[in-house]
Amino acid sequence: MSSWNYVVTAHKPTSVTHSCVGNFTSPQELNLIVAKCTRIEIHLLTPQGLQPMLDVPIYGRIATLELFRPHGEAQDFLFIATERYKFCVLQWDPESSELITRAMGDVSDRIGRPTDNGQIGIIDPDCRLIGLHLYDGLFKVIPFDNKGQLKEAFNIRLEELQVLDIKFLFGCAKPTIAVLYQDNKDARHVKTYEVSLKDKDFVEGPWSQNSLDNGADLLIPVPPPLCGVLIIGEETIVYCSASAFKAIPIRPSITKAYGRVDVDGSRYLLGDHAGMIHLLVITHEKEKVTGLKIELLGETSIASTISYLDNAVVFVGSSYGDSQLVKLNLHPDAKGSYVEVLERYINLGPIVDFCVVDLERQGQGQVVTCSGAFKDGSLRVVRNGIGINEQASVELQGIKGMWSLKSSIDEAFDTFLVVSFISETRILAMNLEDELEETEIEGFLSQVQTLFCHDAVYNQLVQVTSNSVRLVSSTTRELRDEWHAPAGFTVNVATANASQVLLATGGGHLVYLEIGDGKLTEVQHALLEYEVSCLDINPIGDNPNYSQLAAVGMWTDISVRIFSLPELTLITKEQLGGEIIPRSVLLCAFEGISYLLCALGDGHLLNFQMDTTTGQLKDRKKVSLGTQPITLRTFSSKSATHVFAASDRPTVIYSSNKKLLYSNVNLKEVSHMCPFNSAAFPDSLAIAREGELTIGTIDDIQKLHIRTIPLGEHARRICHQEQTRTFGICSLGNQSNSEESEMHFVRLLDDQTFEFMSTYPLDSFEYGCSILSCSFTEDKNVYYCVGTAYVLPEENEPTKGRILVFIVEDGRLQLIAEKETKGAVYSLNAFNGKLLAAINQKIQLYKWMLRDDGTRELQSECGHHGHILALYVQTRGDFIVVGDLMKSISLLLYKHEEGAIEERARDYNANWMSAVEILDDDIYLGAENNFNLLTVKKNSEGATDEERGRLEVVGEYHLGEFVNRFRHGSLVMRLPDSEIGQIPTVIFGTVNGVIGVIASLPQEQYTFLEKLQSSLRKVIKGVGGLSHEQWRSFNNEKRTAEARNFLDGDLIESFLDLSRNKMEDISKSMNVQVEELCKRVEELTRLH
Amino acid sequence: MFTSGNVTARVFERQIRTPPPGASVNRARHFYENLVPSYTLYDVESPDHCFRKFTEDGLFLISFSRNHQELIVYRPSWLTYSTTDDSTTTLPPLPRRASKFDSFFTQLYSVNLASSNELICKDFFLYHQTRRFGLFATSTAQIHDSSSPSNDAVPGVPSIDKITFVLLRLDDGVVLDERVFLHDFVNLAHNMGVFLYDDLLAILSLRYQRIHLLQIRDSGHLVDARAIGYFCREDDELFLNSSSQAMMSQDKSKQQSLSGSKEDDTGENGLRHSLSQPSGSNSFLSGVKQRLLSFIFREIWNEESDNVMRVQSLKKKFYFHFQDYVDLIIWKVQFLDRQHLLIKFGSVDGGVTRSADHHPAFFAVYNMETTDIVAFYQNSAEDLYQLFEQFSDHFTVSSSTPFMNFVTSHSNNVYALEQLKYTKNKSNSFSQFVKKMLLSLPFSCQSQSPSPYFDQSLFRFDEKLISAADRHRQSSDNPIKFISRRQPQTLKFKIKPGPECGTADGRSKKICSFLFHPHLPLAISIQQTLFMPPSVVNIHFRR
Repeated sequence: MSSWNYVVTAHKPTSVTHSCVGNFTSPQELNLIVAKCTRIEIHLLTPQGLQPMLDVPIYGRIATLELFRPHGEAQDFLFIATERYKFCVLQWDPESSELITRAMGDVSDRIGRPTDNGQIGIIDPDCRLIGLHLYDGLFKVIPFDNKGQLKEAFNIRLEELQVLDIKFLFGCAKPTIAVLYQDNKDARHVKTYEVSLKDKDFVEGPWSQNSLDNGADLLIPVPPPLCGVLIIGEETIVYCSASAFKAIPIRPSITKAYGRVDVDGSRYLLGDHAGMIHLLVITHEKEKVTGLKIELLGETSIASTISYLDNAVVFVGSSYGDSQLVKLNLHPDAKGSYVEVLERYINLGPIVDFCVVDLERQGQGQVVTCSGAFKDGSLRVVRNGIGINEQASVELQGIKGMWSLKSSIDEAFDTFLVVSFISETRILAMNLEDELEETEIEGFLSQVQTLFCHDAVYNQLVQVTSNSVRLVSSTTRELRDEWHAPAGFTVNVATANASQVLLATGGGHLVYLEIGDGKLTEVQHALLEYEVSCLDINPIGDNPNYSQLAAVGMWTDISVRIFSLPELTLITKEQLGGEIIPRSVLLCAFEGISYLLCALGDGHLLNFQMDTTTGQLKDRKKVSLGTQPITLRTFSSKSATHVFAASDRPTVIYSSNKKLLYSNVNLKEVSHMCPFNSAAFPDSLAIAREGELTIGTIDDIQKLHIRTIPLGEHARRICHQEQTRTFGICSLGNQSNSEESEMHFVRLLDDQTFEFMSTYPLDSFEYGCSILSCSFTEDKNVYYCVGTAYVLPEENEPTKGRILVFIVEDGRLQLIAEKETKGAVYSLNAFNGKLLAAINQKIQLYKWMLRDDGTRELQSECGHHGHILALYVQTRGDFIVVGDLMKSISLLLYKHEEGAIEERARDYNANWMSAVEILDDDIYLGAENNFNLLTVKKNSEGATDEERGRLEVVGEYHLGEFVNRFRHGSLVMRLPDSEIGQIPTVIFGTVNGVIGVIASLPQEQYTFLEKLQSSLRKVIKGVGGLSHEQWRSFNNEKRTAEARNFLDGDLIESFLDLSRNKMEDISKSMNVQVEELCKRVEELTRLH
Repeated sequence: MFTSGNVTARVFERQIRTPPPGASVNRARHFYENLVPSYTLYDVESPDHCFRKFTEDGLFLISFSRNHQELIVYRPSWLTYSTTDDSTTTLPPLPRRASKFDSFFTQLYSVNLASSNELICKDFFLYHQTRRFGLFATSTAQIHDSSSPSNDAVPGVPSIDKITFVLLRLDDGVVLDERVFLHDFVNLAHNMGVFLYDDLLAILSLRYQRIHLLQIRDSGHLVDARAIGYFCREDDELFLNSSSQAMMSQDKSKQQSLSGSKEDDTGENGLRHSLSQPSGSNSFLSGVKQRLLSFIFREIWNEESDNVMRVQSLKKKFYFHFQDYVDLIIWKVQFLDRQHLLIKFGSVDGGVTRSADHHPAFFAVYNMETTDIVAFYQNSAEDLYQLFEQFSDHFTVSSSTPFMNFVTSHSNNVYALEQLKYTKNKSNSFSQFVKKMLLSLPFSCQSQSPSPYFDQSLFRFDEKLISAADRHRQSSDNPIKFISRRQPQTLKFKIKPGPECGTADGRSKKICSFLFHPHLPLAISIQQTLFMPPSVVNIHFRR
């Protein structure tokens, strides 16, 4: 049963909906605040660029984001209003670097028609009141008192019923709004009103302006000294105030975003629907406006927000492409553009379609999305975990250890790679042809296993074997000194850095040596009560060559101990618990925080924060990385330190926002790893696995990897064909941004290079609506089937479409068959060796028939009427699940004998579907127009026909995202032996660029997590005091109902970010050990 | 909100473009421009029932048997059928069974609600959406010249021997609770005398001038919350009874001192009148009436600060009309919110007859918690009209679900407002206009269809022929046109209640009623001649 579902975000929303600039975190600091629908990010402006400070979820879809400064405050506050009528005022707490809620509330009214043009939230520039336009004909006022506190809200009747925009005017004695509205004859006007707080009513304002541009859609209030307002139309821009009226014609464009450049409000950046950025200048003599000027600056992503930061640097937030940080240059470049892109911030939204494929054939799913829209359209390959890009590999069995060495300590690159085997040591080096070649270091022993190697000061190299420590000159490669293990003892484990060696021999002897110029000195010796299992002296203090601490893992008592160097005094001892011995310890520092990592023999990893002066350990956390012993090794990538944990499930440990993160490496079982930064293979790693030594570079260290394939056109459907290793897409290009010039294509892409291999242009007005790779009964070929519609602008609904059947031959699309349909083919499915199409309100089944002349054709077999618009169809066996535009989900059955399709059951609620998927035989998943998810259940055991004919709603959840597609699959490697590997998952993609995972959990686990979720709700308070329970409650225009049978994985997984104290609290309330909770939650994080 | 008019382009636009904040429902409603009930099946084979209405969630179609004894509930299930025909040129013919009512509606059950001498009131039905409960009423025949012995009944108001309100779970037709009113009169036509607000039910007994406030519990029980009329507070009666019992055993002087000591109590006035209730005389005023009179008195009192002027003003405005005020009875009641009732007062004659135009009438806003009258207006009061013009939604949709907020009114729709202003300017006398407008107050509960085809921001249509209001209309031979607002020249669909050239012999006047499904492109029109049942049922749907 898939009733119990766990919803978690694999990729956060990236579509930028709002942004603003101000002094939020301190009076001196300039911040950029970016809203991505359900999250806000706070950045600090530094000379180096934008520095992220905070990224938090908001329990609501952000409708309004405004910075303002109440009287008497030195820095700005943040006002946020959500689409479900909540608002909050936030302040930055510099002490804790958190957001404090200054005020919050609910501004919903029981009565009122939600406005067509969207909620508007504005703040009086003199901070006298907040104004909200949420319902037609009502203007809500939340007044500030003179201390800046919010008072009780009230409504004022607003006579204008089709409001397009409302802004507060600057420099008015009384708070004054300008209202841009449309009258009943579709003409547009601006009117001003003063808000009388005393009478709780409007007073006619200082001016009004009738009959504006028909496309006027945006007001920009101009600050003092000029004041007044700019009215942005599609063909004209008007400046208007009580005393002045200036207009300027513009090239037809729809302005989507604006940003103010100067504090005095004389220059503005305008971003239009085609991604063009214009500079609008109000020319003025002193305080008198003399005119307007507009100039094209250049092209960016299609902007949804523009925030001018400083020094001609501008943040361009986008919903259709990557957001950008651009610089506006004084002089145009060769292409005449003043815009220079400094940085791009990846945005997957809108994800219109995607498919899950295993391109590398490693058993790891990747998601290929149709992302972006219009000119910013692209394909994105999204992969979980870190990939290794193989550069070279040699077959080598039985590697026991690897180290890279330099030919001199000052060298930038590594020269040697020491590879140790059970009874020999081989030295590899790059030859002149950039090939790895076996070489020799004369001073090293090669007939024995090497336990450790390192570069040492004074251009020396250190080799530790079971009998001795050898110090070798890296220039002459001759032995300079040797330390011998005491007779009868062999060295079991050893470690070293540039100037120190620490080793342990049998019997619990710990020996500390220091490296001098040609000299090894035994400085200290200690006898421990048990055998040593692992050691580390990686320098994490100020001196990169010398460590003041040593970490030692012990057999028998299963402990890890910290000794001070050179004294070898025990300063900390930490019992690890359990019976599994530590197999690898590592001292390391991430983002200025020192950690001790300790890996156990069963694939678990413990981490502690460590005080480097006292050696004290705190904040113990345990995670499971695999099932086999782990070896830990540090490496650098992009000048940051990371740790590679080699095991059966290799993992990279890194830190972000001062939190340790674990990312899978997309390799099966790695036994050893060492960084190998050679001139030929810079920044590479040497990796030993499965009888092979591989040299490769590593991807950027982050959880999800996204590769962008810009298309320059909008892809709306994608599917993969395994047999031909191609992708088929339906896309459209826009020649000059008018609907008529749209051209639609079916394109074939190579699944490795993503190059266009072949293109089939569709007719004019013909949309590609669906694409499918399938084969038919009695035909072994694989085809691409494309469903289309002739979308004539003057028609309500298409009356004609086509199904095109292509075969890929020699990398080209060959049209094999074509079938005309009586409407838009919204969906295609392979069904019992036939083709099932959803055409307007109908489901139609086609057979693939062989004609006498040997050609083939689609022949209609049967159809089913009974939908409004059958948009989304999934099949399983003989069952067909249809997601209707407005009629929720219905279940149909194909009857072979009768050759008929009949309706079996239906959900009678009014859900406007946006995607459906079949979870199992009985449970179907749907997403609907108001950002909710639902599951419905087939009621086969119903007592009456009527009951059996009803799909019962079993799960409801407010996702807060518009889902465009569900697909079965997983982003992570599925290990068959793991519990998590048994959990079926569905991936979804949304308009805001979210990739999420819905996992169907066993009931026991669900119940457990449900308890955890409700405990977490009490401990983790939503930003602005917003309630998680309310946020996740199912909500549409008909009703609101508590979420059920869905869990918020994002909330549950945030358990791992809690402080120990809070974890303890939850552990107490749940009556479950913290460790157990961590373990269970961590397992879940492996779902994505 | 969409850049294209074609539904396919809109479906794809929805995939990339987020609607303006909070307007996802608004945007979805634009699809109704494309998906319309333009196809009509005339005179479908239909059971001979009175089809009452679709519930607001669209889950049920309520109908009553012709003999007004049975409730028959249908589920709108939409016509589904399998075809093998796939000619590319013409629309395939509908299957034969399409012309049957049962192909669109599945009968869920039929329940007998009325015993032999009772009839279901076919004009009465209220729906409690969150619980999916239906409230129905049955009654015995109405006796016009009531000779009922009751003393506190208002003379002139007819009496019905038995009125039963039945609360029924619509999912399975199980009767959950009943409430019986004996020898009483509740105006059941068009839900006039009953108002449902969330779980609160106000039933106005015209005959006993009592507003019965009931609560519908989640369990399906009707629980008395309070009765407003003779008493205002819940414990008034208890208090009175206990005091009157106490007083029986006390001498007169003590009684006086008791009532004297209560002088400052807010409930004092009601108390004193009620004290004399046992005497059975009608010369004392009910609690609500007392509240009303004192409010009027105080309002006039406060108008003038000068004592002489004050007395004069009181004489003119209060004492002169005193008996008129006293004679007022409650005509109709609605909730404004959980605390406030809007009560219409008028003369006895106006309360019963349908055409109450020429009778004087007053509106009062009553706070049930404080038992105060908050405001009082004449039915020609311009300030009340102003409120009604600007905030009509606060009067009309107060009973309903968020979905009902989309019902067009002149407070939320520019076209409806324009229409109102046009009528206002056209009318000869403003005060007549005000009276006419205020006639719709208090609003009849659940009397509007939420169907998006009546959303005037989407469609323009002739409100004389069809509207969201739940009303029978005279049938017109011309099709009713629904024209796009956005493309003012484009006819989106037309609906014709009769066949193109059928029985239009002009002999008998035809009455037509339309039942629109609240969210599907589906409507039923029922056409009946006054003397020739059975009626003709047509189904209009998107094919």
